[in-house]
Amino acid sequence: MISPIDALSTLVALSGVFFLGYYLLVHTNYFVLYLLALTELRESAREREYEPVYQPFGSQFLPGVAVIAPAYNEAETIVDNVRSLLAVKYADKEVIVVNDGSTDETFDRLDAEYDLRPIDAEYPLEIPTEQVRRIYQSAVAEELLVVDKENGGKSDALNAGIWITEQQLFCAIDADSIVDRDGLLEVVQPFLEAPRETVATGGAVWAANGCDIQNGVVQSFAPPSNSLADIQVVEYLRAFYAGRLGLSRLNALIIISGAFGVFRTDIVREIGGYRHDTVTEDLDLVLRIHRHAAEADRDYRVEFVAEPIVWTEVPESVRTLGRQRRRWYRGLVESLVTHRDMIGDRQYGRVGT
Amino acid sequence: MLQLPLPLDAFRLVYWIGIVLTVALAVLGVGIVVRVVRTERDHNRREALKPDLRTGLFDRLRRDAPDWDSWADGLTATERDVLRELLNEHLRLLEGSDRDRLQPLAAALGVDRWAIRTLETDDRYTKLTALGWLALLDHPHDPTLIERTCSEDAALRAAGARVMLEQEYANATEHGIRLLLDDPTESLTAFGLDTLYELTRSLPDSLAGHTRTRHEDWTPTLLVQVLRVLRTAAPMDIDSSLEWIVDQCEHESPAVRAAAIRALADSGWRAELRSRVTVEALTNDRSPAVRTATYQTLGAWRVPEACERLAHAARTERNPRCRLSAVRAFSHNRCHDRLESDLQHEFSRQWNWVAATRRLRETP
Repeated sequence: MISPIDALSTLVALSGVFFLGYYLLVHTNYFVLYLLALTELRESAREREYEPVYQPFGSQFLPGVAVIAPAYNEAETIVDNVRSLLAVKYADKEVIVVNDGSTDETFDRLDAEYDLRPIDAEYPLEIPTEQVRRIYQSAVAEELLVVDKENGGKSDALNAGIWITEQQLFCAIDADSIVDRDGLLEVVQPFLEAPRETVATGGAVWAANGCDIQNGVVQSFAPPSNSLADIQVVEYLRAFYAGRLGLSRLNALIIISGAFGVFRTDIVREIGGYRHDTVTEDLDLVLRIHRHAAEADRDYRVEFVAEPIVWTEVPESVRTLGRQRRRWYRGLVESLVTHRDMIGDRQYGRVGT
Repeated sequence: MLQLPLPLDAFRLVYWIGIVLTVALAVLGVGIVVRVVRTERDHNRREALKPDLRTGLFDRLRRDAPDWDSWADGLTATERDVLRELLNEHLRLLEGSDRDRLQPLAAALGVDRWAIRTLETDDRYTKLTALGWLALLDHPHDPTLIERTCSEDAALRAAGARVMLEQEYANATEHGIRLLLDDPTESLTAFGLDTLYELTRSLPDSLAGHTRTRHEDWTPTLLVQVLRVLRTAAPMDIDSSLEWIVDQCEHESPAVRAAAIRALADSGWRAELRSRVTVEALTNDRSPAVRTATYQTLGAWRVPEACERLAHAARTERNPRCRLSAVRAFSHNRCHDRLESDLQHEFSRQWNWVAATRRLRETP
């Protein structure tokens, strides 16, 4: 007969073994990932020491990029943020702001600042989104296009831009984020180095809370005064410079942040663009790109680039943070369930295994 | 008391593994922190040296006899290193006589000798840095050395070919083409493409000739890239080069067919060439990319026969995006009024869009 004390001791001992095993497994995994990330970062830093003797902006071989920024009720910040996007250095760039049925003054402020002129005709192609009311071109910034459409959500707005642009690549960016001036050229770099293989790239997201931002340009970085935001600064650094960099080295990167990613336009159109029925459309898109490329038996790469930075405000209250994280984890579970057939399937390479 | 399912030794082992891992991580962490602090201190020290060295550099640059050698000899190792950095920066910015006068400073700092020596190294990144220097310096050297030592990957080949371009060797074009297109399976980087274009833009026939004899081993991607360079370069004089491109319009890869017809966009004034291109087959191609490229080329040719083709293509085209390309190309052409009004009527939605975007572009 086993006494209750003996049974309890055994239970405690067994659970100790379980947790220790779990601890070792998880941390070994992280350790390997960090080592890979360090190697990747070191190589990337060494690669950057060499600056080719040419002017990429003067080259005719730089792929054209459409920067697509969906905007819904962003009246307070839209003018500064569009100014920041227009200031990004890149030779063949088109900025498409998609006004996703805003109910505030987002469109009016854009019109007042950038002198928008309507393209006096109906767009001739079918776009798989909510109705596009009209497309405008700025009279003061030739590369700025504003698409005014009925509200359909972020995915819908991004899809409108993807279907309208004729550029080879598009950069999906949140309208309330700020990109470093050289950021676009840096995030496009893998497309320049391996034009055939590269299908998607993403840069790092940093917390803008505490930064000195003037006219849509980050003048100086300072840690946020809010302790919750401070923790997120460290969390973002770990997630981008350890996790994503390591996974990118393995070609197993399954997410490119919706705040800043560059994709091949034709491939994203082929797979039907962003899905509307998921809360983490960015994660779902990258998973579908992996699926599409692997099933076509294509030699491809989805890369994280360490240098380019996009700045975004992170939540400063527990309530907002909780809401954001619930959305992220719900999206993660949704995507894992949707793409469960990829798990463990060797056809999908390291993403599957 | 019950026996535990695992022997005590196993717990001890796990315990010691934990200790060792923790200590290793702590040592690694401390090491990284020490290194970061040192690097930052070194960086600040170097930055502090820059203003004086920059002033010294410009001061000497203005003198009749800069005497770079004695200046460089009097500097500390760190100062020389920072000066090398400034030299690299200014060789990229300055042009003409100022740039020429700065060149001897590289010799005084020993950069040219280091770069040549470094070409033999196995370290890819150091070799790239050396090639970057050689592209900036007017230091004579043997181009075959670069061909021999810089063919491992696309980035090295592009950097090597750039040196040949910048140094304006007598046979830079031939050497550069050979080096850049050395690996038939690897595509060119954007820098490599730009270098190939700069090497061959005034002599595209040499690139076309090289491609004609070698392209069968190449991947379609590489062939597409070369066709793109040929399209951007000056018009070719040799008919055989153009004939070869015409032949590529029947290549098995749709990407190559599209690139080939695009490469003929500026040669539409040659009636004989136009007659050789199988336009009908291309406008009926299964690939939308090939059809779009064909419409764009027909638009660029600006000849009456292209109008009929484009009008027919717009009527029969099934893909809406391709049809828009056909209408756009048609509107750029000089077509006669009847055909234009017919098309305008049949495809009013596409026509109005093309006209509206053009109007907006032309509005001051």
